[in-house]
Amino acid sequence: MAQTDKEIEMSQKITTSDEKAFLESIIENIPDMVFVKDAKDLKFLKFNKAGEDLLGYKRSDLLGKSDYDFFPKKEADFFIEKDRAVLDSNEILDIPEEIIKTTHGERILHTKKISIRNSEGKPEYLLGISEDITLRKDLSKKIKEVSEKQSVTLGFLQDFIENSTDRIVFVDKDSKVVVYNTAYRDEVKKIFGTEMSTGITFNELMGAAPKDQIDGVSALWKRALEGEKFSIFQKFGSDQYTYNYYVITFYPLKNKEGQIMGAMHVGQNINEHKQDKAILESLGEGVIVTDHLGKIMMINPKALELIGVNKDSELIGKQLLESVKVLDSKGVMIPAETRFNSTNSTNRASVSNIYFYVRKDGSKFPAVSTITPVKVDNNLAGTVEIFRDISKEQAFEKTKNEFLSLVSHELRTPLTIANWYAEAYFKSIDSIDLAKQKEYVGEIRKALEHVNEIVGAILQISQIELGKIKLEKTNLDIVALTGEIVHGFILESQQSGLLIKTDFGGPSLRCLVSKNLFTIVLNNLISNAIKYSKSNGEINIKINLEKDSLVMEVKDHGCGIPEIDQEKIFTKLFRAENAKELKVSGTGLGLYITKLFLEQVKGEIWFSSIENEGTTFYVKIPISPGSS
Amino acid sequence: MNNNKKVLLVVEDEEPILRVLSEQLRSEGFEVLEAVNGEVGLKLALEKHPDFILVDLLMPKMGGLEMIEELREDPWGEKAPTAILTNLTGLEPVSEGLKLKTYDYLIKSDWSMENIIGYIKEKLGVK
Repeated sequence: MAQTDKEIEMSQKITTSDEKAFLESIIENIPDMVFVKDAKDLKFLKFNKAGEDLLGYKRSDLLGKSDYDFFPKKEADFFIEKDRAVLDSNEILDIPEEIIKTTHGERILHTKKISIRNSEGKPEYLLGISEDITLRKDLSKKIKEVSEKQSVTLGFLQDFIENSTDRIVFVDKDSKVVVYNTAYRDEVKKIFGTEMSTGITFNELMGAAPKDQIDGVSALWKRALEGEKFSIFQKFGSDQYTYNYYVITFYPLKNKEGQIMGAMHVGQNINEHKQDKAILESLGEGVIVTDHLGKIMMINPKALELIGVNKDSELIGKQLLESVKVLDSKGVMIPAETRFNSTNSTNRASVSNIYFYVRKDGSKFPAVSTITPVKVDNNLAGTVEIFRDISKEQAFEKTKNEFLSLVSHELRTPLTIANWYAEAYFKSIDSIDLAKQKEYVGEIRKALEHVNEIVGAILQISQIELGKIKLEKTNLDIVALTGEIVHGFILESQQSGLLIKTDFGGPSLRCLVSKNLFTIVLNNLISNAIKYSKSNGEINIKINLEKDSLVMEVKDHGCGIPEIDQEKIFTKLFRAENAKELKVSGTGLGLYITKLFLEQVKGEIWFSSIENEGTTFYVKIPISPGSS
Repeated sequence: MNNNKKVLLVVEDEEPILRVLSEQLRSEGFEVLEAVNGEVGLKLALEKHPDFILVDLLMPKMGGLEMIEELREDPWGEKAPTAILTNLTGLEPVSEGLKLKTYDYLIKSDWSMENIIGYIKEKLGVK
């Protein structure tokens, strides 16, 4: 290559002495170690600054010394041998890696050696240039280590994805499939009948699915490809019986610069949790699962029964708000935020309320409704609504409150009488009207007896309701027992001029029945018959065995029960209007108690009555073994 | 005896209560009209225009609330001073009436007859 005019001009400018200083300066400042050895004894003649730094010795310590002064003999022998070889040949010796011990530890050098010959061609000096490649070596070692690790990680990830039972698929920016695992491939084959392949689109893949499903899926991938990470409930399948339900999480995939390169999803088939499904099916509570759009995904048989719908296909896929309406106590529809509990900031926090569910036929029932948002990674994936019909509890509560209110009324009335007559008695204490005083005290006594009756009846009711009264069957002589019971009423009946007649269809009657039950029932019926009879009449008691039952009949010729009151006759504290006018005392609990007792043994009670002519009560008690 | 006697109407189906209360009211100088249900009570009220009406709630044929309701339809009955005297508590329609101040509400077992007499005298402005 020809020298340029400029170079020629420059070299001519350098004088011999200038030239020496110039070269010295270059050598001195070269970043690599430069050394010159005498060809004869291989002692150091020259060292540059980089050499001093590398070896950690001062130039004055190095010059005139040989390798044996600095390195172990073995190493020094090696270096000297190499030096001789260089001097003998006329070629550059390239040692890519040699390790030397310096004052600051081992260094790795890339060294080149060359012989410098005189005009006769004999070697006079040995020039060496060493580059410190320790750092570079370390770096490439580290790079190697890292890349080995990365390939392990990548391998692990690949295995993980491939072996996962979750359905995993990656798509590129154009929503074309890039990578998928076996679980995904098998599921696609099973549901859509499509063979997976790289580059396939979702339109092709879901060919068999309804169009709205395909559009729905495309919209979801679009969201992920726009950078949103989210989870949803989703169902797939060609008809309602082969629907599969999934929780699917979509992730955008970004490179280091944050650009979206594609997206992936991980889908979990929740139909596989068959046990959970079986539990849902058999739950005594209604369960409705909605997806992230508020559409019904799953509804259990109990929920269908409660809202009066035959098949879940009538509701699946429909908007929950419109198809299963829920109102508050004022009849106002529960708004979406409340219904889906979506404003709830905490994950999986349930909210329970009493709402009114509207059945298919428009009727309503009260229910405790518990609504739990299903959130995956803080995204609303759907809602689980669980509801229980509480109409029975509410009716019971209402009856209980009414009962308490009426019982307190019934107790307060005789207490008021006792109180006021006592007041009247005190006022009259100074008078000598003994007849009046006698009347007052008499009223007080009657009132207190009445209180006692009511308290006794209430206790009896609670004992029956708690199952505390034992109704064990014994072989009873019905004729003898009835005689005893009737005898107990002899005073009362004589006062009213009433005659109690009994008829057992024969001289004797025995059967297996509870003595307690028989006594309570007959006592109540006779007591009522006497109270509501007209004076100087008859009360007829007939007791017979009929198949497996003991049948009792108690007939009076009294005021009868007005037609409008007949259906209320067995309720607590009810007394017919005409009965009250008769001014007979009564707790209003007798028939209620009788009915409660009979219910314990699956017995029955009914009556026939004509106002102003009389009433007949009929009782049937099962007596066959095992019937109670 | 005395034409200035204040006339009271007591509507009560429990005979012993009606008997003793009327007796005590009479002994305090009132003229007492007695009714055993709302139907009789309403008829007496509209006929005799008593100065004050005491009415029970649970009664056969016509209850106390129904009687008051019908009474308020009448131009005189509209403003007739009335108090419910009962042992029944916790009824919703009653609390509504109380809000409208159409009547007072006395629980029998909480009131002695002496207190009731005092209350009526105060209402009627008699000593």
